[in-house]
Amino acid sequence: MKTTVQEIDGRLVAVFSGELDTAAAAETEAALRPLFNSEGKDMVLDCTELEYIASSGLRILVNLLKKAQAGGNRVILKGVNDVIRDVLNLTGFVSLFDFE
Amino acid sequence: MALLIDSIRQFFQERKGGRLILILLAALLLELVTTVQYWYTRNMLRNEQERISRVELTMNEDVILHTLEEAEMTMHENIWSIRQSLSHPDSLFGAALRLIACNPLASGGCISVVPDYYPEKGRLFEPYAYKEDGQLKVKQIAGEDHDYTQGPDFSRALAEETDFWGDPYPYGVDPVLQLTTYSCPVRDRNGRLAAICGLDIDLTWLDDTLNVHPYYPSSFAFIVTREGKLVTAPPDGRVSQKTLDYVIALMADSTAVRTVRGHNRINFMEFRDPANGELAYLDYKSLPRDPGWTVAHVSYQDEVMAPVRSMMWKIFLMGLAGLLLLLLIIARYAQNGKRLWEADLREARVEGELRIARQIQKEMLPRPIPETEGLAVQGLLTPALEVGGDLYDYSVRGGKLYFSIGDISGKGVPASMLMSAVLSLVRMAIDREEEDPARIVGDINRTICRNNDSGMFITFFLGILDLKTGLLRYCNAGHDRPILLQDTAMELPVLSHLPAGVFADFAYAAQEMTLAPGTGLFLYTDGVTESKNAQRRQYGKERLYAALSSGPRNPDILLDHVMKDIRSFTGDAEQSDDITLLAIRYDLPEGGSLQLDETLTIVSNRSEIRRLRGSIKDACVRIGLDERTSKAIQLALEEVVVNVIDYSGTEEISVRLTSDGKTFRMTVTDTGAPFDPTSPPSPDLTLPAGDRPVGGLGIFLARSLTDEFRYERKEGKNILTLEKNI
Repeated sequence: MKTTVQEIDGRLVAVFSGELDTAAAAETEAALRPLFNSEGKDMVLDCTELEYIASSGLRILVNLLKKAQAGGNRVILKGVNDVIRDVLNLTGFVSLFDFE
Repeated sequence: MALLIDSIRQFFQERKGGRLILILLAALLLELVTTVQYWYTRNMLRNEQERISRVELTMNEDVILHTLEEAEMTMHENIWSIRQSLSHPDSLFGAALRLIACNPLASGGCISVVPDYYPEKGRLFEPYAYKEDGQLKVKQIAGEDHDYTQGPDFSRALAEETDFWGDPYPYGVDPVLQLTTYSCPVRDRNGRLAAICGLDIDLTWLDDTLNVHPYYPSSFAFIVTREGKLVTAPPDGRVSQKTLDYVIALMADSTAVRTVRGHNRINFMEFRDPANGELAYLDYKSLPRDPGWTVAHVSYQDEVMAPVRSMMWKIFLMGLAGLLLLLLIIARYAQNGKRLWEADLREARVEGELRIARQIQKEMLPRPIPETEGLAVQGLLTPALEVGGDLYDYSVRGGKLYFSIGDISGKGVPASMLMSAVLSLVRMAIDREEEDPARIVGDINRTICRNNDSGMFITFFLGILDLKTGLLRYCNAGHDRPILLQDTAMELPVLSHLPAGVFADFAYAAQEMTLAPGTGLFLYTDGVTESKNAQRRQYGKERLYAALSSGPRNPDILLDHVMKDIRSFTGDAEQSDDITLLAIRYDLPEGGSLQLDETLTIVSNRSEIRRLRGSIKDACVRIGLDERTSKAIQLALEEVVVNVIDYSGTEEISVRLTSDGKTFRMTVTDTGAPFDPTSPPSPDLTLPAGDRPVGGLGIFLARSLTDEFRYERKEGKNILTLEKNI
């Protein structure tokens, strides 16, 4: 699992690549620290290369969303594939995030 | 053919005189054929002549009969009107005119009144109508210089008192017309014979008509009376008078030999033309009615047989040429006989070796294995004319399919010997159930390198397919990459290795891949892609891939399909290299499902999760589950196992995966503290993110992703069973 973060056009963009499973959760959460620390910026999570997500991964997304909503910002999921979308549907997260 | 040549050779060696006899025999045969052909053709031409004559005679007969009947009809149509006119002699002029007016062939018509019938007209009275410059004219012609009573027709008519055709006679000068007169007695109202009415018919035109377009250039036709007087003659210059006289005399000669042919009774005679000495055929036939004339047709043998003569000449020349050629061949053969004989022996020896090599190659190939559930294998080796060094092999041992294909650089006996050595090594490895393909390939490499003076090497691919798991382990030594057949045809990923037999120390490595059920494998040698057509273009990989993509998946039908595609490309071009194909289909067993039953045991630690998931992923691939289902199963299992790790405090967790093809069941067993994941309530998904509790989500996901989710505590174990319909 690889996570890169950069700022593009005033938005923080995190690009995931690989499988965000239980084992990868801790390192991914660490890699996303810049997003947790940001103030007043919308966040984009690029899931184009994300192949798998477990509940531990979902938890990170939810925590990120809580933080962003507290600051009045949005979290946008980008390029979500069918497998990930199934999980988001099942958990009802589809209604929480914005999609691009 | 070879047998024939052999027997001829033997014949020559045994008897010296045999050669001469053979030549004589050939010549005799040639002569016989020519003669038979000659007689056959002659007969045919003779029949042709008979047919032509019959047609000519029948046509001429028709023409003449038609002419006569027309004239008779003209007469009978007018006879009543003439009788009416008898009471007024002068009205006979008009009657005579009417008589000739409507018959184009009538050149004149006379009404010759019997002497002293009309006292006022004198003794003789004969109104005569005639045509002059296209005009109809009439006059009285009897007189001192013309006493019609002296004419032969008149006296005959008086004597016989019936109508008849008189003999033809020439009339007039320049042109001289050939006329014949139809005479008919006319009686008056008292029944007294009053006149003889004569209708002169011009027959001059018949001379030309009968002889227009003769079938044979010199043949001619004519008509004669019973007395042998010419009614029509061939055109001037066509036939000499001498010939004509001779033919007419011949017809009259009752002692001459004649045959009567056909149902229309045509007389046939052969005679020698006195004018030129040529043999001629005469066909003639008499009219079946008055005046009993005879139509005749003469053709010359020379012309009738002309085709056979020109043909015989050609046949003779050809026969002569053939005979000369035969002599030449025999002479050469005799000269080189000994040398050829020895060369043949040498050739036979080489051929024998090739046959042996071919035999080795053929016999080393594996016997077909029965198509078992989930596996079909088919190989095909089509050797080139010269024995090449292709090989393939397959066999099932210990639940594994061992298959290999190779192409030895080189041809002939050495190649086939190396081939048998390679196959021996492969089969020995199979016997000891060697599981590492790289080790087998390494063995082959070293063996070839050790005993390789001629520098031969082999491109070789070996695969070991575990039929239970679908795991394919393989090693490639510089061979053409095998092709994976799923929805499309694609290359099996292979490492670039040297062919075996080049470097003894080369380290060959094995590769792995799990084949999903329904996957096919296609292996081939470069004889396939390098097959050339007449334009020397190669069949190539692209065509092969296209053929495979569109082809059936059943191995034996697939091989047939590919072979046909190659053949349709190469056409009649000679095959220059061995063509070898090997197709494998790894499939679901009958019923379309794959049984699965395996148990994985992991240490209760999050770090084990990924290994566990990898195994599940492989299991899913093996039974042919799609990516989405596979991911759902992985996720469900990951979530419950993580849950167990986090809460049960067990040392080990055992996961049993079973499937009957309909349901995928995961049984997670641990010996930790009792813990029922089904008891925590499902999270409230309607809550905003900030209000959601963390945790419980994993179990919720696992429950959502599966169709059955139950917990039981049994013999001190937590047993969690998840089922997913697949």
